Amino acid sequence: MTLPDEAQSRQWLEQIALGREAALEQFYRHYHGQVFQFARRLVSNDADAAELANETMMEVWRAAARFAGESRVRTWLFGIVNHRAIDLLRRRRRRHEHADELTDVADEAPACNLSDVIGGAQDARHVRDCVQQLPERQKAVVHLAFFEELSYPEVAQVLDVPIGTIKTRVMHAKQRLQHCLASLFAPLRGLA
Amino acid sequence: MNSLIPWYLNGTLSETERAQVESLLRDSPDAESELQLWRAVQQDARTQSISQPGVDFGWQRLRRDLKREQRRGSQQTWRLAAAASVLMIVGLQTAILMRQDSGTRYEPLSGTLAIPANAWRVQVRFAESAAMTDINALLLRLDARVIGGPSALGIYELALPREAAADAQALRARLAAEPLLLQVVVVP
Repeated sequence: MTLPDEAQSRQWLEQIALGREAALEQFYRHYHGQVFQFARRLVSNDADAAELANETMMEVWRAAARFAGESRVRTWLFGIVNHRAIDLLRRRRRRHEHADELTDVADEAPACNLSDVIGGAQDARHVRDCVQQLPERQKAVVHLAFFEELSYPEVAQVLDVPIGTIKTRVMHAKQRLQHCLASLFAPLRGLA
Repeated sequence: MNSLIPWYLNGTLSETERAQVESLLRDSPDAESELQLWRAVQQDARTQSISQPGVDFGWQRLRRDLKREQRRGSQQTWRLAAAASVLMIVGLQTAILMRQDSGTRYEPLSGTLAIPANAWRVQVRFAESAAMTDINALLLRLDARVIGGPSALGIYELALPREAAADAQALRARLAAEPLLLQVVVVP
């Protein structure tokens, strides 16, 4: 399926703002996959991601008229997913006090050299395992950069944080990946 | 400048930024290693696929929620109108009562309005092997909505319409017969 162009997406939003359900259905069918995949990066299970996707599309129905057209439709849409995810995690935090889910965790510098762990990055399974272990907020940046191919100002807009925070998250993600790959790769190198 | 390497790879940097990153890559072996790391992450992102719930189930569910919201909206309009009328009547009555004997206590004949319990709350655990599409289909069939969870033990809280069963026992029996649900507790 090819993605709709920006003009088509804006047309749908105009129609949705007029209360046309058929336009929402077209919008939903085109964006549902992307919304679910991004939601899945922000929460830890499929059921919550499906719930987030549903809430996001409800918000599109309510807020289409407020789309100001200053960003791409996709950026606006992912911003809604992000805000909904924050709400969900806040509700959870109140219930379970999982404060760590919402904070940017500064990592300790790993005791290994990046060039030493690049060998581990050649194994796709290692890379995937390590990306999976990133905190949700760092995973979201990686997803938006590499899966959705958004620019860094767009990523900052979606996640509603300053550009500097995005850069910090990238550095923290790199450190975590480095540390994780070292832990997976070093034992193998020892065996070689 | 290192922090821009992911966007160097996805091709969204400006010309100036791109040139700066390329200069860094030429001068710094560490930056070159970092590029290789992010390239591996990019390749992984391009090849992976996340299983998604069916788009039709999702759309049906969204339509159901929209209709609910529209119903609630029209009810709220009526409620607002009714509340405005009640306020006006109360205001008039207060004005009349203030002119009467202040030692007499008046109470509405209707008493306190009861809030109807219009939904069952149920805690469930889904079978480990349950696919997302099957769970969605089950929720749609039951007209259920996830309102909480999962807990550390994987327990979700659902809301079901009151007409789903005559009583808690019947509801529990109905849900216990569903093979996808391993544990069912009707919250009193």
